[in-house]
Amino acid sequence: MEESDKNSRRRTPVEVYFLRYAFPCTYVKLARGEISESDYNELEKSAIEGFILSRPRLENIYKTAFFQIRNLAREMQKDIWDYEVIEEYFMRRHNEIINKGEGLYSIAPEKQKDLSRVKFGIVSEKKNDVLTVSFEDNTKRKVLNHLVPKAQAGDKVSVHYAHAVEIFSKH
Amino acid sequence: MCLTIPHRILKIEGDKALVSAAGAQKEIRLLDDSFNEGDYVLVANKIAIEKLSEEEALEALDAWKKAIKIQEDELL
Repeated sequence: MEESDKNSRRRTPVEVYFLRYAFPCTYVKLARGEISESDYNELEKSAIEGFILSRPRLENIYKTAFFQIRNLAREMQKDIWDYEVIEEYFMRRHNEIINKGEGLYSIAPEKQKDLSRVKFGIVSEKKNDVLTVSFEDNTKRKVLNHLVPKAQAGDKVSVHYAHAVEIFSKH
Repeated sequence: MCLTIPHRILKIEGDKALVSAAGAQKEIRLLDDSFNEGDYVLVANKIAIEKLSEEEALEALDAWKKAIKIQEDELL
C-alpha cells in the first residue's frame, strides 16, 4: 500500500474505517437475528455517512471479528483500536483465516469463501450503483458502490462481500 | 464470519425477486440480469449478489446451520 493511501485513510476515524470493511457482512447478522432491522439501518448509515458508533457497541456486534482482532493486537503489542491493527486485520489476517479454512470456513463453498475475502481490483465499468471490478486473477465481479459512491472506471478499489469498500490511488 | 444462508428465487419481476430461505419469503433486488427463477443465490444488503449451484447451496446451508448452532450454544 502506498504511503499516500495510508495517510488519506487515516483521516477517517478508525471506528468508521472498521465499519466500512465489516458492514458488507452485516446482513448475515440481520439474517441470523443477531441484530435488529433498526441496528442494521444505523450501521449502514454510519458506514456510508461516516458518523462514529461507540467502540463497545461495535465490539459487541462484531464479536467474532474482535476475537480475532484481540489476538492480532496481542501479537502486534498494540491496542485493538490501533489503526495498524484494524488495517492488518482487514488487509491480511481476515483472508488468512479464510484461506486456512478456520472454523466454519472449512465447510463453506469456495464461492462463498471468495466473496468473503478482501480483494483488490480495478473498476472497469460503472452503471448506476453497480461497479464491475476486474481482479488480478483475471476474474470480474459486479459489486455495489454505496460505500464509495465517487468510485469511477479506472480506480483501484478494495472489495468485500460484493461491496466496493475503499478507493486507493488511481490505476 | 461472512457465511450467510442461501436463498432460492421463486419469482422475478424486473430487477426484483421474491426469494425464500428457512421458510420465510422476502423481496430483494437482483444485482444484474443473470439470475433466473429457481436459482440459489447469496444475498447481501437485500440484493442477490452471487448465484450458487445446488451443491454449493447445500454446502452453504450446512455451514449456516452450524453457525446457528454455535450461536445458540453461545447463548446457553
